[in-house]
Amino acid sequence: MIKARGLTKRYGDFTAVDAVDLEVQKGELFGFLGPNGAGKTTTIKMCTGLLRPTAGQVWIGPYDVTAQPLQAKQIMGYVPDEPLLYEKLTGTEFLDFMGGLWGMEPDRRRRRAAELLELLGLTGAATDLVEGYSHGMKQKLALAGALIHEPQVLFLDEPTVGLDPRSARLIKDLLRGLCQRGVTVFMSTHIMEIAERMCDRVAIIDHGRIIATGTVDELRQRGGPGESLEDIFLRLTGGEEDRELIAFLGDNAATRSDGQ
Amino acid sequence: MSRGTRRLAALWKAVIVTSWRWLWSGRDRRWLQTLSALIGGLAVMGGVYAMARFVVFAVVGLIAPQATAGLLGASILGIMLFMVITAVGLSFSTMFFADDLTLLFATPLPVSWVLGVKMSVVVAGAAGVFAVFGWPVLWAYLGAAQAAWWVYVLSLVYGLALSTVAAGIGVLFNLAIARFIPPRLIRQLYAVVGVLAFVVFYATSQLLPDWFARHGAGELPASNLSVVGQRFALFGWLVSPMLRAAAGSGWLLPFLTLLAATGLIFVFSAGLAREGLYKGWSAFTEAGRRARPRPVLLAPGEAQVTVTRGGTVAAPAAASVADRTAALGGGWAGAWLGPRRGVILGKDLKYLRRDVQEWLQLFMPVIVIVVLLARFIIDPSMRSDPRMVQLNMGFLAFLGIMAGGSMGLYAIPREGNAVWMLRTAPISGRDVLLAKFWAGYLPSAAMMLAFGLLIMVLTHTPVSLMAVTAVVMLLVAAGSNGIAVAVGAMYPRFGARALKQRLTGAGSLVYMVAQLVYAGLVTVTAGLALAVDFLPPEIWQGPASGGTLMALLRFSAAMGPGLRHLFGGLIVAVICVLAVILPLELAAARLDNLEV
Repeated sequence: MIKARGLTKRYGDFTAVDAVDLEVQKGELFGFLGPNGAGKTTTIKMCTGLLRPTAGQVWIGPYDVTAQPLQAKQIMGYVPDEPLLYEKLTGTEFLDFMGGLWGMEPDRRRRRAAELLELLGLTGAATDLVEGYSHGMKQKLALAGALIHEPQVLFLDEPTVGLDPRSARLIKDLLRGLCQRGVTVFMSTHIMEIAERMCDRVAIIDHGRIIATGTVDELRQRGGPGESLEDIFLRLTGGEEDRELIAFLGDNAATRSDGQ
Repeated sequence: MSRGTRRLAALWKAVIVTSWRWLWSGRDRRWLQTLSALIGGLAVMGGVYAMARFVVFAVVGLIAPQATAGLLGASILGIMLFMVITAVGLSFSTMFFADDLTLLFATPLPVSWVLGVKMSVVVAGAAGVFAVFGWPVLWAYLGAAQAAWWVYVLSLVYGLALSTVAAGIGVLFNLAIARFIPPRLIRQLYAVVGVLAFVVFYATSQLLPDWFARHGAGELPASNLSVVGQRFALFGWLVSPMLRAAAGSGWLLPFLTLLAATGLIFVFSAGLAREGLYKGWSAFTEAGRRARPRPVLLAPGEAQVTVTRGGTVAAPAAASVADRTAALGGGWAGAWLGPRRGVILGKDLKYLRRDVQEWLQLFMPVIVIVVLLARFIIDPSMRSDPRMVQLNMGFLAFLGIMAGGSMGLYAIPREGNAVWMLRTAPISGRDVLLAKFWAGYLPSAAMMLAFGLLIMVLTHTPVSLMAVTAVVMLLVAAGSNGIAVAVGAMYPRFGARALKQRLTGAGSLVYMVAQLVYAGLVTVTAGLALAVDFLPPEIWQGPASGGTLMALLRFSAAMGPGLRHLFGGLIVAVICVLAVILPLELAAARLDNLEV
């Protein structure tokens, strides 16, 4: 359902994403992991048409995102890492706006908006301006906006950041339910627990390159015995060096403290 | 070099560097595009301006020196207004653009240093703006009456001083905001600063004509453009008789009355907007929400079933929420433009109503138009002299361009960081621009039409002329809006917080050049079609009637009045329509490839 071949993005001499190949099947929940600045958001933005690839192609279903952007966008939904929405619209107006952009008839989009608001616990704030929403409410509203047209493919950039545990759980259950219904979910996250428990497959990106792909079990088999996904991630992305450095600094600080 | 000097130099360098980067930001080396656009634009503008000036002077000036002076005054006024507004915007953005005040004030730097450095950047920027756009003013003045060139050079200095004063007020104001003012007062204070800048312009321009008269400008032959200097102060010219009629002679009382009146209008409207649209809206919705029982739409878990497995909530239950859902594009907008474009139009119109930043853009033109209307009512000569009526209709059209332009220019940039929604939606750049065009055009055209018709009714204009004027106004405003929307789409800066900062420096320059070229083309075309109705035939048929202009006039006269007006009107209409279509087509391609 999602296919990327040689996907590359360069800014001058800097290569943000370097020849990424990906393939995500229909109904799959795909986790996209990587440290800050690894190229996760850039990759997602290229997949959703927000950025034009310097090289390579992305297909959403049968559609080439660059050559057939409108057809590709018609079947996808996107939730950015930061919910920057129209502050002067109410929650229902926002969803009506999003439904309208996807060409939904007014009656259908209003009915669908009512369902999503109820599901995400926003019915009580439905007629409030978005500017009065908390970060978590905006995040949920952005998700509702991405779901209103019943997309076949859903891209989520850090969807659980800023959510309380109950809302995070709700979103996780919802995403699982969507996958069971055949929706393909492509999700970037920093939270290893989410990737470990939810995702069918994961890919780890570092310095713009995919350095590992597979199911969580497959990745574990490549690592040492008893290694968690977090251990594998840190080993692959150099995070262990940071841990050693922190430990070294801690030891030195302790030594100085003892010396005094 | 002392430590303090080094710190000051470092601060100054940091502010200059960030200002420069902010002004010419862009991954695609936009400054190069800007430079080339500027050079090309200035060349085109110079050519069109010279042609327009020549036509206006040569044709209209022969029969109506007053009108000529007024027209030139109005165009110069327009340039001056652009410069002042740009200088004020520059000062605001210099303080705000980098959000660096908090950081700078958190360091041990003295406040006076921060203020001084910011001021130096603002003054340099204002001078730069003036250097680019002030030359047509100087050129016009020097070409108009060399005998009094020093008076006109002084006008130029006056403009520079005015821009710098406005910029200085902006800096002080923003500093006050950053340091001392509670956030809830910010909008009101912005309004006050707007009033101050406005009043400085009014007051000083009201004094200038007398000063010019005392120092020789008034003694120049009336047949040429001796009154240009006075008409430069068009605002003062419009306002002073009205206020003098109300308050007797002298300038102090009118000045104070004006200060109080405009101040009250701005402050109260800003305050009212805040109370009514923010607190009022929230209180209203909150009260309504409490009064309503929370609808029980679904049993626990049911929504998830419907959302994740298809199907819908039972119709009556969903309707209780859906009925409260305002359909942005479900009404006339959706029926007219289709759901995709309809919701964008609906959203923008809601924003226009709810966001003070949006509709405050219409305030300046509205106030000037109200003053113009008052002048029509108080001064009978304004209604009896057809040339004055036409002149003021021209001024009204100029304001229409201003209003339409300012509404359209920020149509795309106003999306701000929320632009990802339009870019990930299955809607083409052309459709977005079309919706944006209507969202800017409808309010500005409605406003101009209402005021225009009112003035025409006051002046007992024949119905046929009224209809033609209305069509021309609508067409001119459409072209202006099309150019504005397109330029805004090509040069956005979505990350900026304030609406007025969401256009790149390049965009501002290109916009001004494009609007001047457009206005020049329309003026020249309309001038050629109408001039022979007023001029004696010997002017273009006489022995000294050589040159392209006279040839065009002979060609125009040979057509006969009906065909000439039709032909001229059609060309103007074509220019206006092309001014909508061509820029929007260019911008659509740019928008489709926009990276966010």
